[in-house]
Amino acid sequence: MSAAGLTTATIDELGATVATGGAGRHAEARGRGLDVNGLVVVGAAEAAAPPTAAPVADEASLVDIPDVASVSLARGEAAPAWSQRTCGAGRPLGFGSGRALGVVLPVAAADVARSEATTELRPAGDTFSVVAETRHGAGTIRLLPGTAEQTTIEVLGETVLRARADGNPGGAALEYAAVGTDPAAPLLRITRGKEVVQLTSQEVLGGSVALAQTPVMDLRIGEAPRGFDRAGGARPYVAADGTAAYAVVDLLRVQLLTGGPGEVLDVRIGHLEAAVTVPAGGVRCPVPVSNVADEDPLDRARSSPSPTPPTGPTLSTGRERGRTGGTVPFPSRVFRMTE
Amino acid sequence: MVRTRSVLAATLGLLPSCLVAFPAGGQTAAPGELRFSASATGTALYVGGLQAPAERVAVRAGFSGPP
Repeated sequence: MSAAGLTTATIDELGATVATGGAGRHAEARGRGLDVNGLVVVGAAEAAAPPTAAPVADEASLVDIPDVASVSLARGEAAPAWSQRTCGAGRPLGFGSGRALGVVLPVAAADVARSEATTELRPAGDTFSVVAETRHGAGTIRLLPGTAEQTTIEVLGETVLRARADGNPGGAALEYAAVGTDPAAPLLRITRGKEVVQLTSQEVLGGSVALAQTPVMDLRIGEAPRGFDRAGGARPYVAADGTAAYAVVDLLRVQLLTGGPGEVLDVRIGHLEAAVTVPAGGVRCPVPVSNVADEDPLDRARSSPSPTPPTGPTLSTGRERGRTGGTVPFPSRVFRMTE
Repeated sequence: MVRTRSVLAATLGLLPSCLVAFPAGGQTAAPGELRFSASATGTALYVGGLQAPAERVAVRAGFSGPP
């Protein structure tokens, strides 16, 4: 979502086009149940605004792409909203959801794969802050299923990455946390053969956890959020003047060495990206604020039986870092970052 | 060793991807005070090649985004 307009395509860290952009577009949203190279998509919903149209959804079941992937059920939902007449604070300007059930790939299988993403304006005094939030849902993933190296990863709760900025010094922040769980509650359970490792959200999100590596699998848990850079050197960013924040994080990142001769497969579980920018002083709405965007299709989305846009999640406990100025990396045991 | 190899592979094999920056390049400031942007994406499961040949298949399950 951009007040200036989405004039060019946006590509995420994994190389996917997440917004195509175009003249007059201010908000886009998309949800995809299953996506193969961006060319074959199953359960794919995509929409742009303005105008703010009704939410779109697409669903497909029992789809098999031979030797690549199969899925029992795939569903995508998209609901962008934009009005040139009002700021439309207090409800998402963009909502996307992607779900897949019964996913089977050559090297992995998942019972549920689900994520949601929202962007919105939130009142902050007489101005507005901008918030971008994305969530990864619980599910069970089996890596190298049916082999001696099979590893089962149970994600027992939901994680959220949130970036916000209000344009005032100290008014930008990043948060990465488990939603609505006690820090001592288990968030991950990993089973390899007879070995079972269970980790709490505090252990997972509080710092990288090292497990015994295998000859074919390098599994990394709870790596610190980083900047937008697959090469690995970038750091998350929170502007000291409160005008920007962005980060990328993976709940688990796995490298499999069995993809073929000399080939390394890159597996991500719970890959989340969030970024916000605002002008100094925050967003001031030059016209009356409304909680209705055009015909307010998001209300209809909320009333549908499909997943609803999140509102005000409860984050598990975290610690806040003091303001030090400039770019500040996530320390190993802190999962909240402000300036 | 694995970790070192992984870092090297990521550095050498995926260098072009570091050209991708956020927020997206090309977005220009809006007039007046309505100049802001937000982007969020989620991918529940991704499997792709660390070194990406043209024929490499990349699969995502449970993808969402309001850019």
